[in-house]
Amino acid sequence: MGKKILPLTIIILILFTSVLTYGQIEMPEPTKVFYINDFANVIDENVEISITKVNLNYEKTSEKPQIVVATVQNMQGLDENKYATDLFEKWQIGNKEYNNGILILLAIEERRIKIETGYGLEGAITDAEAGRILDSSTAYLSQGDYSKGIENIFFQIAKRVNQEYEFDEAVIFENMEVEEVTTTQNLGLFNIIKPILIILLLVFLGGFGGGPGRRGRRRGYYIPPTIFRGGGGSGGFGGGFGGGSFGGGGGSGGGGAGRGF
Amino acid sequence: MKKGLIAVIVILVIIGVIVATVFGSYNSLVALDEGVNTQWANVESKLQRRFDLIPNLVESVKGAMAQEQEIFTAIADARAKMAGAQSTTEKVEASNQLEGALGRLLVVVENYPVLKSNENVTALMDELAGTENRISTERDRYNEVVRQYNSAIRSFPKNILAGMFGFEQRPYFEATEGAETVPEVNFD
Repeated sequence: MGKKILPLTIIILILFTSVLTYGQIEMPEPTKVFYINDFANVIDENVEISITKVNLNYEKTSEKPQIVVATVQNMQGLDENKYATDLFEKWQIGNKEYNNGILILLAIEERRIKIETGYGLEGAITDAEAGRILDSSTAYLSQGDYSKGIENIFFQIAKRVNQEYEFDEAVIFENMEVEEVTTTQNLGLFNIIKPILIILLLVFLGGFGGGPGRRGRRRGYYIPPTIFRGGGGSGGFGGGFGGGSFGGGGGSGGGGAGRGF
Repeated sequence: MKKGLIAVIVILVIIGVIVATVFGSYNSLVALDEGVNTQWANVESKLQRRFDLIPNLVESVKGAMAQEQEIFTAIADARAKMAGAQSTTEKVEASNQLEGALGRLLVVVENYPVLKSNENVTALMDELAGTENRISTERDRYNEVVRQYNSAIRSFPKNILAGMFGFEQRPYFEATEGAETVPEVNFD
């Protein structure tokens, strides 16, 4: 009997903590592609591919900046400043050392667009600069051409980033083959499956723990942390549990600019 | 003889555990305290950024907004108060006052199409809005580390140590009521 109490307590604890975190507004997990998170489904595929390509080229540089796009239907009652900062913090956009991430956030219902700059790029893209970039693109957004608007914003930012790090534009914007860019994601489904999987996993591991000897039990309860981090996305669980693992650990302090359209 | 030895060992172990706990607790308090200091420095650097930005902004909009003198007076007063503020509480108070006055300015500028279409003014407004947002971000982070620190020094047994070594509660950076909501302007 006593052996069954421990796994039960763990399950109850996990359920409780997941209930508790629902108290505050939970930011969505990034997609597997990470650079493009078209939750509102408004970006054309060719734009998604070119944005991903540029970012993949950035991965090959030593500074490794990241320019991430996110579109959401609505911001759950938050303003774009708070939402963008929280999302940036969760996804940890940009390289940890350089804090050189940028988040472009588009909220359809609120009709707001926001550029959030990481600490390290505040000099390259000042708030005034971010405002100018947005002003040059809001016309597309007000017409409902979100793809064109986002593309315009993205490439203007990328040009500033290239200048900042003296990247060769031809190399960064070159036409490289990107194999199979999948931007579809099953966030809703995974959120439902996640607790079930955790329970199954625990029950499964707990079952092993029933063996004799202390050592056996200990090993039984050991859950490798990599499962929860999504690792490289190659494992069976990869991506589903993933969260923030693609971000380079960059931070932002709320810099940038926002516009209505 | 053997019993005595065991008793001595047990006592030594207990003392050892207590000493280790005291050291650990003390060090964790120091770390938390230092965290509060660091975060406060972040807040201050953003406050400074706002402070430096104001003269440029005021200079570029003042001419077109001659009839809004009282806003400029309010900003100047709050800025002077900010410059003279010494303690954290004074700075928080001055900052809130400044935030209110600047918020009013931002709203009123909306009513001047000439200013809104001026690129220089737009740029300064963006810088100001971005700075306000940075302040609010760093303020939230500051309050979070203060919350951790304050709850640590009040919880048992750390409160005993905190009392012994003079760890005192740190003030929160509380935003003024309605500071986040933009004030309404009525032209009737």
